Amino acid sequence: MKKLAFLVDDDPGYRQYVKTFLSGLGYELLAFEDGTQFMEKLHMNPDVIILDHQLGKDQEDGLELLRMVKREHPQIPVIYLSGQHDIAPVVQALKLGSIEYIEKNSGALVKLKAVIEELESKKKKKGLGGWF
Amino acid sequence: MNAVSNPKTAFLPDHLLEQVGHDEEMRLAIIDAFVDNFPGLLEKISSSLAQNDREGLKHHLHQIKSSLSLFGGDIPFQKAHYLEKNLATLEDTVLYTLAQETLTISRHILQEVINFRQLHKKPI
Repeated sequence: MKKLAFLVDDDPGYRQYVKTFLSGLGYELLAFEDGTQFMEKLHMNPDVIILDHQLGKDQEDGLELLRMVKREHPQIPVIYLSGQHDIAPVVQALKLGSIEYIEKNSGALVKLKAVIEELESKKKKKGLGGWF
Repeated sequence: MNAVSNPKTAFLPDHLLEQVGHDEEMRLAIIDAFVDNFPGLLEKISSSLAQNDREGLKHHLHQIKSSLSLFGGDIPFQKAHYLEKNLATLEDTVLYTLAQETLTISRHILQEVINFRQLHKKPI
């Protein structure tokens, strides 16, 4: 059975790259342009969520979504995407419970793979008890 | 193979291969996604520029940065990033020149990616 990942990112190209890349790791990716549909689908309990910090104009940013996720589904691991050298939101995201952050520049997909493999490894070690 | 006419502003296939963990099939799949999506984003940038829509331009520049980073490396990414971050304060003529330069670089990368895909696509 395929594992399920969610991605919220307003960049259609990046959504497609991550979808393609994660399919190679055995994941089905549901990708969202903004937070509205994403929150409606959270009951599907994805194995991992990937949130971009900077969403489209007139949208909430990734930190707001992260707060909502952690309030309603604190067990779901969240990976936070940030711009280059965008330190302040990264610190905030880690404080809010994001397990890792990834700068969306060179190396982002490879780092995403490494983070997800580490998550899976932790999950296996913990058996059915969740990620942590 | 890193054959490019201008290595500062061209498609870097070896760089992309590295970005996808040296998986050649994945590189081709990501290239397909790029060719599907990128032209539409460039059209939106052109349109925003023609309408002097700075907010739209900023949004669409933000949307191409990840593609430029994956396919063209750091230099085209930094150009788009600079423009996105400084867009509010740039004079019209400077903005227009820099945006056109970003578009030219982006189209050049796109064309090289299309050429690369033609050369490397699997026979049916």
